[in-house]
Amino acid sequence: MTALDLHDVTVTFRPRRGRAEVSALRGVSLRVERGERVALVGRSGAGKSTVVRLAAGLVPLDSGSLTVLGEDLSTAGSRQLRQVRRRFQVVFQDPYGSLHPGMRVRDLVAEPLAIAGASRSDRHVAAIAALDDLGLRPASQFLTRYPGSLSGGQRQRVAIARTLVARPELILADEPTSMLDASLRATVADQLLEVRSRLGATLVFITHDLALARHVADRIVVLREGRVVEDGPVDRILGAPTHDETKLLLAAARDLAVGRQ
Amino acid sequence: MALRPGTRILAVVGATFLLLVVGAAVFADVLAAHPPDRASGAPYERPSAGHLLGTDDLGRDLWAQLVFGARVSLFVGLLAAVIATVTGAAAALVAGWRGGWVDVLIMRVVDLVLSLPFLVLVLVLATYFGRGLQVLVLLIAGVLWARPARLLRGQVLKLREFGHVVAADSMGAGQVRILGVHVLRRLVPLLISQFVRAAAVAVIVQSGVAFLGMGDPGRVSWGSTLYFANNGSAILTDAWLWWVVPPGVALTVLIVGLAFAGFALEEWAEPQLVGHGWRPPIHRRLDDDRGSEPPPGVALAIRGLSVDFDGSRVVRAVDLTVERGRMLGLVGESGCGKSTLALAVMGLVPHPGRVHGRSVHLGDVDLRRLGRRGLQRIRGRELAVVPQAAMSVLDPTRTILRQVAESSALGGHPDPDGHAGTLLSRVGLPADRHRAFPHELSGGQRQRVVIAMAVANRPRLVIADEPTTGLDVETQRQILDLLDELRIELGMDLWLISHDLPVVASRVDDLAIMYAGRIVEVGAAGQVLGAPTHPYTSLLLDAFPSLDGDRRGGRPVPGEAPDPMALPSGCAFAPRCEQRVDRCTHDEPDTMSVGGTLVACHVAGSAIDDATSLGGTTP
Repeated sequence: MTALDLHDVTVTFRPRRGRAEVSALRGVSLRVERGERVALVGRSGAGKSTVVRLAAGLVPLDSGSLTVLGEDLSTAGSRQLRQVRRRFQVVFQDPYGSLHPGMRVRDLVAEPLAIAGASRSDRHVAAIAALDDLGLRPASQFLTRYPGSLSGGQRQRVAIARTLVARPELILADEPTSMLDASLRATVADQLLEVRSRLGATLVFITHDLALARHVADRIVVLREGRVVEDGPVDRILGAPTHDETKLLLAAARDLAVGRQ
Repeated sequence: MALRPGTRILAVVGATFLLLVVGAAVFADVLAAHPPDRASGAPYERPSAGHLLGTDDLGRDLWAQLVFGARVSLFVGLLAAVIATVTGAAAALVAGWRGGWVDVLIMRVVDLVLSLPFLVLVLVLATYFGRGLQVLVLLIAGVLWARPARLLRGQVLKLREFGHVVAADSMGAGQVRILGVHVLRRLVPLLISQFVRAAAVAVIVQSGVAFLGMGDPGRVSWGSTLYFANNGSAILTDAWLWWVVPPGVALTVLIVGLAFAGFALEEWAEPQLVGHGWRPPIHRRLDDDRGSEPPPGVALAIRGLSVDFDGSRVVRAVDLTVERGRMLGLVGESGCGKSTLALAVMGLVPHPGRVHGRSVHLGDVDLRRLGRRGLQRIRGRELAVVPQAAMSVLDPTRTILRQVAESSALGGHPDPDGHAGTLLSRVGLPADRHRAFPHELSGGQRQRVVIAMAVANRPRLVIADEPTTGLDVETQRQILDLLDELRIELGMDLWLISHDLPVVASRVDDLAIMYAGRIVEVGAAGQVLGAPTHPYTSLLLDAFPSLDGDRRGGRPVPGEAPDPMALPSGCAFAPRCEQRVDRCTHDEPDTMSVGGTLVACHVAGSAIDDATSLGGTTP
């Protein structure tokens, strides 16, 4: 069964008068099966984030069709959209903006349950369990804190704990590590992978870093200027890239990845 | 929640003033022995025990008028403010959230209301609809809602794009939840200030209307007292002292009380609104005279530099050297003090930071011995910075050519515009982009502009603080290549600061690792990367996913970085260190030379027999 299906999708942003239109996606077709771990890779402006925002129903598509978890979103009304949204979860790039500064950690983590109408005590229990699972221990010490008192890494863990609480079928992660310390990349990615495997969810992970893509995914999709230019298993893409864009990204990643020598 | 001392005073004064008025209103029947609106004595009586403030021209007790007047003012102020704020907020939410023709319609109505002369409108409507107090409240609110509506709508439009609002939307939250929890709650500080303003205006307008004799004839208010005082020529006799002054003072007390209390409430609702206002950094002159001789052959030599913020030491006795012709990389996690160190070198540590240190030599000039003027002359000419977040350092209202030309002019270039054009072309911006505004450029292009500004005057040293953060891999590579090319072309030295170890490590000759304010390891990059001596360096190197080898590579450094306000005793890294021995938890290690690199670690030091201590570096 398909978790995400884009067929020949185009998305165009029309800024307010006087500015040129921007084609974000120019005919993207992409199928992600249930249980897959897919990394969307590309430079800034390649359209990676637009794919996620489109799948989450946050930007409208101009043409083509979009199916998320079996529901056709190209024609869905707002009620249907809300129902589908409760079955997936987006982890955003910016852990500083994506958490309400006036809500306590407890309410942030349990927000999906509040949306679904769960009782206060259920939300409390779920929040404690999720915080504990994500290593924010002791959970009781984090429950009443505000995000302002947390580090960037801790905030992103709160966002991932929220994902765990939501029990989504599909996780859309939009560069969740790019605003954190580089040394936390693997940690945050690992926690997402852990949550994913526990829930048996599908993972779509956006990054411009091929080393990180290799770490989290078993399939890599390379985007360039709103088009899919290469799509295949990780080992094939990294071992024998065919498109120039992939080769370029790989060369850049090799050039910048100096580890232990 | 904690308020600043100044705000606390305002809060106390405001609350006291408001309580005075509220107390008068609530206990008016007890406080006043006479009715306010019927004669209880002879006309024009002077103050006496029976009539504390005397009587007016109809023999009515003025003290009773004062305390009962508080009721009218509070009633009008609060009710009008509630109606105006609620209506305004509702209009703003609907307009800002729905958008489209609804927004256009509501905002045109708002424009219309705002463009009408306020007091005249209320007076005209009051004569038309009658002079009752309730009618007046509705009329005032009907005019006052427009301003909060416009202000709040702007905020709603902004909040729509906020991360947490988008996140809630993407989770399938309903409109009520999004608007209530995610939008309205963030508008609270603004709602408070708008409410207070509306209340104050309503009180003044009601008094004004009553003073003009057009108020509710059945109600005694501060305004009507003044109206009768005016008619009774109180100003011409000494009666003004007990007839005019008390209602005037009462009005002032109420308005000031509202303003102060509102100010304090606003800060309480959103403490992050309060900034520290910039003040020049406090430079502690030389603590001692050691190390004032410039070391030969270096671009920059930092010796014993520390920075304190409110009693916590965020940079701790740092020794660091940029050798001439060798690129230095400084790596550390967020909050380790690396950016503060760079600011301290530039003499730009913000208030209330305090800088201590032996010396900071740029070539043979000791920056610590220069005053504010001297540092200003050096900055941008001999010492330049490529800051992070290029968008926030560029002026959005001017073309990039103008901004680069400004840097050239600072160095006294005869043709700043021509020079700026050359520089922009050199950093890779085609000529047709030179007159672009910052927002028209991509992140990589903006970073190129900032680099052009930094190198405009051929500085001796460029400090690049996270120059590639937020850029994609390919752009990162291009920016680093550009910096390296310019370094060689212009014969300048380069100090690269980043949290991203691989990015820095790919380019630099020397590498320093910073942890909790200290340099824990420094040496030739090949040496530090190939055979890391400090356990932290080792763990850090393992933390990155790689393109080769084990797919699941990338092992996190255990634990969390320490809070600079509460550093652990002994070695700051000890709580996270897997090789920790007893000594580490109580004894801070000195910096010592181990196998060619300098390292601050007991374990690494004791492993090498000929480890030579370089002496204590931590006070």
